[in-house]
Amino acid sequence: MLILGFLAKRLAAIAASLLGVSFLVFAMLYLSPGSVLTTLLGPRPATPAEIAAVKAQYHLNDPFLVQYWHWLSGVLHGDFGQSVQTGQAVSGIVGPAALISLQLALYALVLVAAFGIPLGLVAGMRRAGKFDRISSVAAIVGMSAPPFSVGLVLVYVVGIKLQWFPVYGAGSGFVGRIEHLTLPAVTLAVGLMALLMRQTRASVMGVASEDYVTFAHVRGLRASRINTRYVLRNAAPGVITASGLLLILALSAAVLVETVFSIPGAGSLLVKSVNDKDIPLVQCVSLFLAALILLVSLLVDLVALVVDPRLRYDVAGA
Amino acid sequence: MAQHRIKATLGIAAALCALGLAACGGGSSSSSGSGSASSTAAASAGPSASATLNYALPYDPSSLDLTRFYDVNSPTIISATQDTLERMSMSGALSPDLAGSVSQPNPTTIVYTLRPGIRFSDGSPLTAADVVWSVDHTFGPAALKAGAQTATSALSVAGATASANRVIVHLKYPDPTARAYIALLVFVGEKKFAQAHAQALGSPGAVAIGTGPYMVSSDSAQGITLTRNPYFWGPKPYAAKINFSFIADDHTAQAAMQSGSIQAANVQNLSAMAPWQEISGAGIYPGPSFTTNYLSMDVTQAPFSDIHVRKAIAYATDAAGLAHAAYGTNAQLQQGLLPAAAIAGVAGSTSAAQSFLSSLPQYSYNLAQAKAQLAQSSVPHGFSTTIPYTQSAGPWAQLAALSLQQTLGQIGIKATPKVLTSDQLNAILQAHKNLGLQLQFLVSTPPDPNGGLIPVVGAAQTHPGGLNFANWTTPAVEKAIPQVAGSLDPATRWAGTQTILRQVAEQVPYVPLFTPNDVYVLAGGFKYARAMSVVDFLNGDWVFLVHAG
Repeated sequence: MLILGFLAKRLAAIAASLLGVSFLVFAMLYLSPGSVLTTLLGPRPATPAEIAAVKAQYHLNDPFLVQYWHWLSGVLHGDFGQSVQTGQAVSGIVGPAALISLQLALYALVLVAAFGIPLGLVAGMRRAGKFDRISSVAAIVGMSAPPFSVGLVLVYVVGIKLQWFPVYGAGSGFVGRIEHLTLPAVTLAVGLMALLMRQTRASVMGVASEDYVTFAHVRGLRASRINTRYVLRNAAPGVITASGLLLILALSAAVLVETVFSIPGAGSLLVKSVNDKDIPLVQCVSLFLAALILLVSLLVDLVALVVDPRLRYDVAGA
Repeated sequence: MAQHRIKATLGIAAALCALGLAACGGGSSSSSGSGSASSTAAASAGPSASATLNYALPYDPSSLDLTRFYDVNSPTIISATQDTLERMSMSGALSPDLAGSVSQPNPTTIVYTLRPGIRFSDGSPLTAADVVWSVDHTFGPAALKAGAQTATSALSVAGATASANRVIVHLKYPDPTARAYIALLVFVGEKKFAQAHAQALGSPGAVAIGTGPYMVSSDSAQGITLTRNPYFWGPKPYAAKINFSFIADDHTAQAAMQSGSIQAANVQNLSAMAPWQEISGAGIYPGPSFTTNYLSMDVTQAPFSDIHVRKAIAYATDAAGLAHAAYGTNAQLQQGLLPAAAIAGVAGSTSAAQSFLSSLPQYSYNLAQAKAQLAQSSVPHGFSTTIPYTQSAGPWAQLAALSLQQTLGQIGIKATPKVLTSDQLNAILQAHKNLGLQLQFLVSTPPDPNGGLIPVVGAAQTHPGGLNFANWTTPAVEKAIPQVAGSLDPATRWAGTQTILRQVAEQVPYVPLFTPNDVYVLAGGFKYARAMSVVDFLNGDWVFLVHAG
């Protein structure tokens, strides 16, 4: 009941945020130089009759708020409109691209969590030890390396020289998709893994010095039980929050990685549609990304509520 | 209880990840470049049963309907699946394609007689009605009203009618390039299918059905796959399958070719050919384009209204240095506003065209001459101006702006490069006021003076929407324009073309710079049978020129 109430409030806030985002994006596109006419008519000179016909078709003569309302009322009925460039339904274009970006971000997150958390846990438990020092240096290198450079190195070494993975495209089918997204996911994951490792290390260090952990050692419990049941469990809230932020970062950084690996994801679609001033497409992709970020934040908070009972009391109190 | 909740949470998260990664598709059944050519048998002229060509284009065409997305890359795909009525060569010569014969009983009527027995890739017979629909979809009043991007290319086309196996195209007025535009831009599609998918024609799932050697078997943002059309009426091309993918960056394309993921690509950065040449087994095929890069000067605006100023700027332009910096060895300096290939048709031969261009006044880079010209002008001490350019114009534009800043500075003209967006520059150009010095390019497609020369000269093109950004004309030019644009007599057209080009060279409203090549790369056991040109990729010949190698 408590969580349902919390969920309802957050969903309402998400809806309001999305409305605000859509209005902002629409306004910025409206105010930016140039006109959607260039996209529709191409570089050729157009007759006044042609221009008038196109303007009428796309409501370009209507006031800004009327144009926004046309779009919003369509969205509320599930119609995101048609691409100005191709005439195709926007949802049909954005769907596959969004799926690819999401898969890439999730794959990167899995890699980040699979390596970052254990490494951070060990580094935190063996503070100031050899492993901690080596992993800290590696983390600094990982955080400093620009994704673009990492991607190019991976393309050359792993893709060309070793030919272990394809160097471009998103592939199709489950195995093909995993194969094609491996290099891009690793590219994204390198820097993020370093961040999560450091965050986990810091959280673990804070917990490892607690009295109950010391008592668990004194009682003779197995190290693996102490690490998972006591240390990691209590360090989890910080790690979960960081993971959520990293997923959002992964989505943002995906644009660059999509360019290096020529992946037709939401990031490259957004860049192309902005350049083309394809307003319906820009709106839809922006909404998708905003919705995803807000939902990830919500998911992170819900997971944190599940994991940490203390937070439930805070929410109940509120 | 707490343990169970954690395990459940982690389990759900893992399942979601697996489900998310498994929910792929989007309708594509292509492998998006993960395989290499499957056949590297000795050179063979016959079709291969299994050879797959993976071709990387620089971007995904927004539509495979040319009327919606009129660019130079999408015909590479469209021409492989849809035929045209005639095929055009690099010199502009026309040869039969779907039309077995063509006649022009009077200056405003073109009659195409279709070959018998041709079928679309779904087995339906090709009829004259399909061709009529295709012509009207591309040109004509209905296309214009629908906002077709091709419609203004041949404004002379009034429409088409069918009569048995003949298609009769009606022109509003005599147009010597109407047949060329029809040959280049009218890709014949099945009328029934096109009308049933009118709204989304050209999009995935609604790509036009054609009679070409291939048909689209899958189309998504990741790639387009073509397989052989079982009903194709001509000889089968070598490759059994062609996978198009989209790689914007040359580095990524080179990496993909080196790893064997792709075998064909178009070079984007012509000044960096070395990495392509280092790819083992790669053949490099440079070919002439129809593009001319040039400077324009608004002759209605002081001081560009002074011919000595224009000549000073012409002499101060280091075209050879610019061509090398922007395109390496893949550009040819221009001696006239159009390349020889664009006027060879009206001249009668390439050598005649070249001979004429060589006779025109030339303004080779010479700062002493530039200073001398400026000294005779109304601004002997120099003046200030800006050089607007856009990033989207290509690397040459920024290089040209910086080069001109340096060279003009040495003769006393302070020229400041100014970056604009495409929309900003278009707005300025369309206004046709105070255009000053501009960096421009024109594309002479078809290779004819009507394609590249007539749109940039004459009073009619100085109004908003026109392409005469020099706002320039002379009585001789006005007299020559109808000779070139409207006459069907080659000698008359050639005389008019010579007049206009000579006037441009003498009055210098435009300073022609160079024509960059188009460069194609083929590797992985494939080769092209001969040197390639842009026309091969516009008219579909390229698929027949791919062989094992």
